[in-house]
Amino acid sequence: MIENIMTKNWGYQISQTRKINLDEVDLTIAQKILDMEPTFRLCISCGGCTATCTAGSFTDFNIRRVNLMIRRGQLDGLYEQLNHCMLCGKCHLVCPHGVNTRKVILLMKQLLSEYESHRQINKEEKNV
Amino acid sequence: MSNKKIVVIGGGPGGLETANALARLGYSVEVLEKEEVLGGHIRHWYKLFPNLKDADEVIDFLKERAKNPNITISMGEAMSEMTKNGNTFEIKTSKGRDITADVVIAATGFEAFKAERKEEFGYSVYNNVFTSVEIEEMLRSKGTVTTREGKVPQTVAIVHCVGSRDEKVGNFYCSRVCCICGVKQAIEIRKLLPDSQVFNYYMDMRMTGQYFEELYRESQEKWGVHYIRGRVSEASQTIDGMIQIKAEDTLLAKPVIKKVDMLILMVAIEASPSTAQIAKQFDIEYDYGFIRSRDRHNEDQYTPVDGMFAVGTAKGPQTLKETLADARATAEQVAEYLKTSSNE
Amino acid sequence: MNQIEGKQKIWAEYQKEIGDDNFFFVRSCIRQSFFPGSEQTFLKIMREYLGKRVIEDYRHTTCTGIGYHSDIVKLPTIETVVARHFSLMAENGCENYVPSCVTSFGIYSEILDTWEHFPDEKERIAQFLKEATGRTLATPKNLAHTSDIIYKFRNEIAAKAKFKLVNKKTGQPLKVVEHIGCHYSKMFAKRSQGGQEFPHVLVGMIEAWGGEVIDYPERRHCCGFGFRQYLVMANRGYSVANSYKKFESMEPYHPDFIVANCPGCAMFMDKWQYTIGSMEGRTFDQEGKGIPVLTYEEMAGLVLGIDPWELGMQMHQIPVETLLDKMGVDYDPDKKFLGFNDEQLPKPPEIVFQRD
Repeated sequence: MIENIMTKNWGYQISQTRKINLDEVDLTIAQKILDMEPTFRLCISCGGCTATCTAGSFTDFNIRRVNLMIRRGQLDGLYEQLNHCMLCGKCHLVCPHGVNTRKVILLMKQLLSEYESHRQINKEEKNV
Repeated sequence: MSNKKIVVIGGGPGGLETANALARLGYSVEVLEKEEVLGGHIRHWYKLFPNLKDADEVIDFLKERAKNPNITISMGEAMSEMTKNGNTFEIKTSKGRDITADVVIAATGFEAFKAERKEEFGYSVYNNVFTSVEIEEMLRSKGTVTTREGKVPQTVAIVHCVGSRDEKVGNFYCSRVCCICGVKQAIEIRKLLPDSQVFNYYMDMRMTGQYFEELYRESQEKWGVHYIRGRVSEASQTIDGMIQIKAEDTLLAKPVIKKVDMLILMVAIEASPSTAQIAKQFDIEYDYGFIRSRDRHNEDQYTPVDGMFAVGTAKGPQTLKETLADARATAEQVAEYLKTSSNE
Repeated sequence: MNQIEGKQKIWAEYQKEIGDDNFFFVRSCIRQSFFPGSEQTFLKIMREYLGKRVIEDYRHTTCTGIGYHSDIVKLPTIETVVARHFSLMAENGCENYVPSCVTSFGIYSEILDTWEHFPDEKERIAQFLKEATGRTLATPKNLAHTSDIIYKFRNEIAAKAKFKLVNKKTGQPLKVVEHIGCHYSKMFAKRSQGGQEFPHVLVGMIEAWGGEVIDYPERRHCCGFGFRQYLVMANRGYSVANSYKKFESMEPYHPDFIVANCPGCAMFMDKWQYTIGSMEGRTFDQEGKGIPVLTYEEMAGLVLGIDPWELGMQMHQIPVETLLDKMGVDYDPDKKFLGFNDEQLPKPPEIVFQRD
């Protein structure tokens, strides 16, 4: 007797890893921003930008974290977060390392919107 | 000027420069150096932070200054035993010589932390795990950095605080020089291997010296060195001989994993066996085996033992710059001590 | 510099004292169901092959470790249960305490350490023991896990070996993944053989019996057993994910089998392969049958030439025949599911891990 056990319902699923595998993540957007706005390299994650951020006080937008997420290739959901930014420029003003945060945000929006639309197209192609 | 016998134990930068300065003040000094060469640890070093000067330049300078009729250097001769007898010190050397000294200067220095004690990093088990000291030696002898198999590395990770700030090895203290050394080695690797990627895994970047912060900034701006705030928890070898490391990116609050061709451990500064021996025997141990000075601010070159001085890393982690300044201060304090005691 | 020399230096730092004879043996709760032949094999090896005196006492109970780790049993309760076990040992005239379970071993180690550092607590538990059972508290002279004992006598076993951990056809050593229960060495490295980063307890056996140890990147990772984790169905997802991660990491090395020294690890590494196969239609070996998972007693038993069905290997989720064939072990497939008195037991269906 042979039993195919693929049909079993286990009542739980194998958890997906939370680990970021730095050898597998997509760093093309990070690299583009680093090339187009070299001050992006100078961020030391002090959080001054987030502390002063207009949007950060009222939404989950955290510009320090967003910068780091890009550099670790964690792109999902970032575009929506960036929509909270009011582009007021206070973050640029306070940055002790002279990171042109406003420019970085604009670059991120541009590059992430391309990334999101690619994802959308891929999804639709799959569905077809 | 004085017929007092002055003995410096240790011919590293601290000991040599103390002798040099004393000689220039007119005192005769004998330097005991256990190795057959002068210069201490620094002679293994390639370049010095923060300005990437050749380490040899400093050694040559010190050795040139030591060519002085007031200085006797006894090479390959270590202090084996030392006791205090009234106002003098009785030193037995490894060559069986007995020296009676009025003033002893402990320039017995440090020893690099033995990286195999942090078993989780796999040093001495996995081929491509190195210590910061080995990297200096490699740069010095080969002029470049390769894996143990001789391959050019694509990815290199530098682990900070190996043996420092770590209760598990009994060292609560910060070794002070490793942060900047990690920055320096990252830049050196990026300069030599433009296609490589270098990652520093750190708990805090402590840029305490002049121009250290600038070098850190340069490493990011000019050399694209990556920094991940988080301590590496373990290293393992992969099937293709790479080293897999696990850490948390604490600024992102997420675990990260990465494979690298080389893992470099920034090893701590620990008291050398001679330093610990003197500290223990004369009951002047600061924690961790280093020698305690009489007063951290006012009498930092004196030890609590009358007639005994301590210089450089025998007292705890110091940069080379600090040790050289300490050496010159020690010479001045010894001169002051001799003047005062001979007037009595 | 090579791996072995580096590891040998570390192993030298963690040389554990292990008793030589007169052992008081205590069983595990779950092993008797999942690997029912293993404890019997331990006794057989100790008594018949090595001529050692091993005492068991029917009054021994669970250590309540599962309840303790699931927040059901409180610390003073488990301490008192353990105190009773120790007094049973003393009543039997033994000083060498040998638990078969790594969870229990961890519990015993932790409690002995607690009593060492907090004598008042020991006094309090002695009082509880007296009041509850009328017994007097004793502590073992030596605490060693059963895998420590087999480790200690690995060379004596090698001398009596009928089979080696070698592929009979190719003459190559079998590639073995060793997995150490967390509570064997992670809590008290000094109470382990070889330390926590490179434990030697199973490596020593494998190498003494001719096998080759695989050092794969996730070697030190927990199997994901936990207690609350697998007990609650909703939590099992990350329990299984931990084993999954290990399987993926060992897969490229093509291990011939896995050996574990912990009841939970052996059970889950065996059974999770079935679960993963069922959920994702994949195994981590080349033939699509799964990687056999052995206890160290089963491994020792095979080396000594004991019949695999006597060792209880028919109870494995992942069939062991691939391994038996490689070792050249003589076994009768028709006898796999014969019970005592050669009575035919129901045969489980053969399993395929494939999507329709």
